[in-house]
Amino acid sequence: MKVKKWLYFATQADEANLDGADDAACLPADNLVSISPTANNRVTMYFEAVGNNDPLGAYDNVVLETVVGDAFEVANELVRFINGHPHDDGFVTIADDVVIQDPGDAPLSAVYAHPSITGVNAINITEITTTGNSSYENFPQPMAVGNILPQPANAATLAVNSHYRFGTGTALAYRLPSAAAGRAGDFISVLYTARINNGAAHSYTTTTDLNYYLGSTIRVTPGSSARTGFLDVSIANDNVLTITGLDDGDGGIGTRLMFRNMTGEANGWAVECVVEGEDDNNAATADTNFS
Amino acid sequence: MEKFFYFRDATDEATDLSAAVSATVPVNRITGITVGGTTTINIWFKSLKNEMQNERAALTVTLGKLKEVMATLVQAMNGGPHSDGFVVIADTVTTTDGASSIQGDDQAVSAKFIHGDITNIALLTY
Repeated sequence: MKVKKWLYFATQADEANLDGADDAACLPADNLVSISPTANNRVTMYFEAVGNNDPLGAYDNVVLETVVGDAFEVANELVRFINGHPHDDGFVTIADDVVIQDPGDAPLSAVYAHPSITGVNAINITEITTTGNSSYENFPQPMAVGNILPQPANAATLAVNSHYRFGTGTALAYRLPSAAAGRAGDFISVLYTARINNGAAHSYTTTTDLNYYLGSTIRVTPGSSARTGFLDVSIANDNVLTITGLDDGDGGIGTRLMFRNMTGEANGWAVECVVEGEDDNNAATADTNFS
Repeated sequence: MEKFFYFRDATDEATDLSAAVSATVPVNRITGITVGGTTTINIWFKSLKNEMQNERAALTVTLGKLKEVMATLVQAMNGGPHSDGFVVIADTVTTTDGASSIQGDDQAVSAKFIHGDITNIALLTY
């Protein structure tokens, strides 16, 4: 049976400070992607991500402090360790900066796999510990295509992973489900096939979340005369998005919203809303905003 | 032979009902072992359902024994070539379930840990 090598790194002098993934890690040599210098006294080892299963996600890395000019020798030694010692248990200390034991504070000697390695500069591991998960089937969808659901009754909670086409001009108030009850990557899209009546408000309120994902946007496209472009960006406590119909102004056919659950956690619903103009498209936007 | 690590964080076998409670994971799916605190080690593995975020088992260990436990985990991956490949890393069940089960119903059993400095586990699968 082939021995799998696992490479150990620790970057704290006092063992009492080993309290996070940026302090100590044991990584499989099989996941090593590359070794390269990143300064004249640093060699960086890149690994496939520990916490992220995204095929396009960033790699983790460990940055070693080295003697200036010894990048080649360090890379060579690392590979020798990975391929050598076929009869050991597979646990290889590449760099361990710990010199104070805890508990007890007894002195220890730092351990390095090669004399040209002088320390660990950084362990950069991105841990993702939220409970939300994206799944590949929830990658961005085209707007309001595919399986279109009928427009729900006023005050309904919209269903996740659904496309809607709305054709009602009278006032409506819809709700979004709890972001935490869903998964990162969930979506809801709405496309207006009829104009919103003058003075009628269509609102979208998060059910349990205190606000939309910060930085969500309402974008009013510019028209003529007084109808200039308008952008509202959500801030804390903005949990209602309202589009108010206006003759020659807001709420025209083609107005659309794309909600996206960014985290699977509270306050995870992001929204991108584009408000088209009605008729002459020359009235300034009014009462279309986050609140 | 492929090794598989077994994790279970229930105390009563009756609650062993989902992947959030117990999981058997092939070691080639383990992406890393990291420190989660002065007495916590995270064993990360590829998502059980191939979702965007990987999952983990968080082991509670004795203060000052992080490196020793990590070394033991690696030894368990590479050692015992003549075993059946099933390696119990942490199993906190102390009460069995099922009258017709192999171990019987409501029998007291001992929790199992691969290293004496592992004292508990939380399986964080989603």
